[in-house]
Amino acid sequence: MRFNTIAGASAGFILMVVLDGNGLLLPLGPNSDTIGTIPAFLWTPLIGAVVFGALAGFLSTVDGSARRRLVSVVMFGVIGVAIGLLIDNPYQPSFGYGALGGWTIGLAATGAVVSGLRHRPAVNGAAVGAAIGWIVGGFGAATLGTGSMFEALIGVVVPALLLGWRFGRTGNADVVSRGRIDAGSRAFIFLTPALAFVAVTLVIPTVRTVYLSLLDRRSVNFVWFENYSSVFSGSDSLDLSNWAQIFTSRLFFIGIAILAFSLAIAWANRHGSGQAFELGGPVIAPFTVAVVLLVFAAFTVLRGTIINNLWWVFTVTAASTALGLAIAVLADRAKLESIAKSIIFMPMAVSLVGASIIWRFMYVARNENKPQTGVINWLWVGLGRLSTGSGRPTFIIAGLIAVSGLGLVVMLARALVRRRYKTVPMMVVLSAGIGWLFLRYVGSGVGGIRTNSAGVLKAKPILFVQEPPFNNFWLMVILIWIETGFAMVILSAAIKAVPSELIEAAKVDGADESQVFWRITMPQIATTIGVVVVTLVVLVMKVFDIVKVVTNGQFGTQVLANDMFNSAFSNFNTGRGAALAVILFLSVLPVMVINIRRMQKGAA
Amino acid sequence: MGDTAAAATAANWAPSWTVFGKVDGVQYGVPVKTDLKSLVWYQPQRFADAGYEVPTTWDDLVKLSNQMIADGNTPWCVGIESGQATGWPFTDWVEDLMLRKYGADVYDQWVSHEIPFNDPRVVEVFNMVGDLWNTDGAVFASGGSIAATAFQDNGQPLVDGDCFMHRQASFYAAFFPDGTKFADGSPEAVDVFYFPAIKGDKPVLGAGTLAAGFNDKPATEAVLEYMSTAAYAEARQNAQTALKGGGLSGFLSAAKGQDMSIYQPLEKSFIDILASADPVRFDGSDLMPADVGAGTFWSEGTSFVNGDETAQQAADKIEASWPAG
Repeated sequence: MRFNTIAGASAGFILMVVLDGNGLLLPLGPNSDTIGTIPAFLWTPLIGAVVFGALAGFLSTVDGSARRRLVSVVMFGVIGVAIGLLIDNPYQPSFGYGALGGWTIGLAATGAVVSGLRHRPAVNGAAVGAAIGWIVGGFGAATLGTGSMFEALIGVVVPALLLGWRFGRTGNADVVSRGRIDAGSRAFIFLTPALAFVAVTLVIPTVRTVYLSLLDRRSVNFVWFENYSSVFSGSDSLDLSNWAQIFTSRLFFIGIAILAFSLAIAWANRHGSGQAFELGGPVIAPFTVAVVLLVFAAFTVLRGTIINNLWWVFTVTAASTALGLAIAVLADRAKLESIAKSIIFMPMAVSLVGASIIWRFMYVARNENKPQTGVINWLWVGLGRLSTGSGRPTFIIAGLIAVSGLGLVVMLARALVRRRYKTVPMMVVLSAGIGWLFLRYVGSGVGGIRTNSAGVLKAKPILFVQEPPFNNFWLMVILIWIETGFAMVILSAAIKAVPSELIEAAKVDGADESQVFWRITMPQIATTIGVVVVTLVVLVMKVFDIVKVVTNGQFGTQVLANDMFNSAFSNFNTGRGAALAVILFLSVLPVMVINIRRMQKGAA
Repeated sequence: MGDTAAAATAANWAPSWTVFGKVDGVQYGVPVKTDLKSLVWYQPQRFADAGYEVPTTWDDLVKLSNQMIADGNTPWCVGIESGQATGWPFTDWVEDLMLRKYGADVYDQWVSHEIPFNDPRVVEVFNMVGDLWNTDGAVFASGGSIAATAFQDNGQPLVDGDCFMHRQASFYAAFFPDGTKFADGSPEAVDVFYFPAIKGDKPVLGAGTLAAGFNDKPATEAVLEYMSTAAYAEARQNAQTALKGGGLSGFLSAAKGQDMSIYQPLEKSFIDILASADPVRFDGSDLMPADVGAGTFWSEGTSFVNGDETAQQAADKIEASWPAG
């Protein structure tokens, strides 16, 4: 009896919360915030709880199946009449009898089948199904607000009677079945809070977002996949029309040249290690540069939101991981390691919005007649002024460049003398580059300077934020600046975990530093690199703050997340916003699945 | 809004202002603050020194602009960078010129999308703005890019004489450097002139803030009624002036029956322009659907100013983005 009373009271409370909370019922009492000391919105549920609890408690004292059935039907009938009378005017339905009958019969049949499958009497399921069907058909399928109180009554009382009849059929539980209910319900009781939380915060919003993405901008009519097709067909989100220009761009030619160069070195070095393709030192640097140049050649020509997102994912993930790894390796066991790593890790503590604002100031370009206040343009224009000036600083910089070039030449000579031919090509390239810089510096000048039509030198700052397509890259730099620290910390820990016996053994076998790194350390930390890459891909895919703050997607820097936000919350185009959210979700999903798989494998 | 507040609004404001808060004949919003957009900021003394006269027609304005370039001066300060809202000052220019060149009727049709956005007349106005700005030496801009120049940063160059004219709304007074003097007759004072008309009428582009009630309690109604009155405007003007230590309040109201003595000379000239203006039109981009008015009109306009697109391409893209229905 106690159990039944409590169960009935909670059922009544929840039912009334749902009905009253959604404004389906006429307001009870005066229109004020509290009645007595209890908030007004609690009154109806409390009354519901008391009534339901009392009736359920009473029902559990009644024995004998015929009497039970009668009491139950009358009880539910009374409750049904009460709720029917309370249904507020705008929710009184005018029935479509076809829909009413259809739903009732359909769900009754479903209920019967479900009961049959569970080896219970089919009428039980049929009664519950019919009750639900009556409510769905009577209220869900009807036009609300045009009906009368009579129809509202019919709509509630009939299912109430059906439910009453159904509850009257089961007798009071004996000790054995109570024990069974107790054991069976325990799992549900413990799981319910967690499941409810997941449902409310994750499952329901996801389903609803998918549903909204199939509706129009005001969420009124179904447009099915029109939102998706507009995203993929709009030239703002995917513009591949200039693809042929990839193969004529300067980036492409330089990339191909460097790629050929790196492959040539790899081929030339193949004897050194007995491998067909030796990574490491002289090869990996030009090879990476070539790949990056080729990818950039593609991403600067193909435009649009989706391309931008892919560009972001490639660049930030690759650059952060590579830089993080390089710093972790170079700083490993070096002097002041912890201080250096702390400084590089510091940007992680800066919020994305804060970092964006800082970098926006650094990227500022000002009028050519005014001092540059953006630090990067100040340096760039300053370099230009120095290289075209004639004061002492100009000579100091020229001297520095010359000294570093000479240093490289000396190293090159030493390598030649000691017959370490592996490093020669890189040295040649580097010293040629510095030589070119030196000639340019003392010659026509290098930096943010131009000569105007009157022959006067003017500042020529770079429009980092406004000039497409490379403004995308300058935005990515912000995220790379932040995420490098993250990659470095994780990878550094992994490197320190590589057993030193392995490294010593390799050295005893005659491996040099580069071979130890590529053949011992790298395989050992490959899993960690995978984790870092996956984490970064997911994070970068959703990039939002930086674009929002710096450009808001203008100047060809739009990304999916910012487009989603603007569509949904500035333009109030809910359909398009939801569609973009779903696209973003689906594109992150495979990466998440890989990540979870790996975690489960690791745990097993 | 109830009848009393609606009646008070109708009594205290000219129909050209109340119409912005009206939908299908029902008054929903009370105008509380007015911004006047058809203004050009300049320094009278600098004009006098160089022998320039305040232009009263669009042709004179273009001539003056070219004259300044020929004299080696930079006529305009234009900046359309405004963070997430980059591009809005361009829309104001286009709106002001639409209103001037084709009149209020075409302007209304354009804003309500009865004529398409890529109508030849709109494209022509885009090009009028573009031609004025893109003349060599016409604009003082950051890194040579109007799109990179923050709209807030144009007060200093005007005061410094880096540019001579700056078309911005009445609220721009707040963006001049501290200590700037306004219309007080001193040599370095900054003043405004009316952005000249093309057809001899006196159209004005305005914007404003509207207050609306979200319940029908009597207290809400009383507040709305008060906010529509001249007494509210005067109280707010006094309060904001006191807050600024006697400087320009940044507040402006076109409510009828205000005591003009609480306004400073510059603010009086705003109100004079407002009072004699006809027709008055609300900022069009604020009235268009947000997809356009706070979306493509800004972004495609910026692309046009940047030279990435022609006026026709930009207008076509904006038209394509206009939400159906």
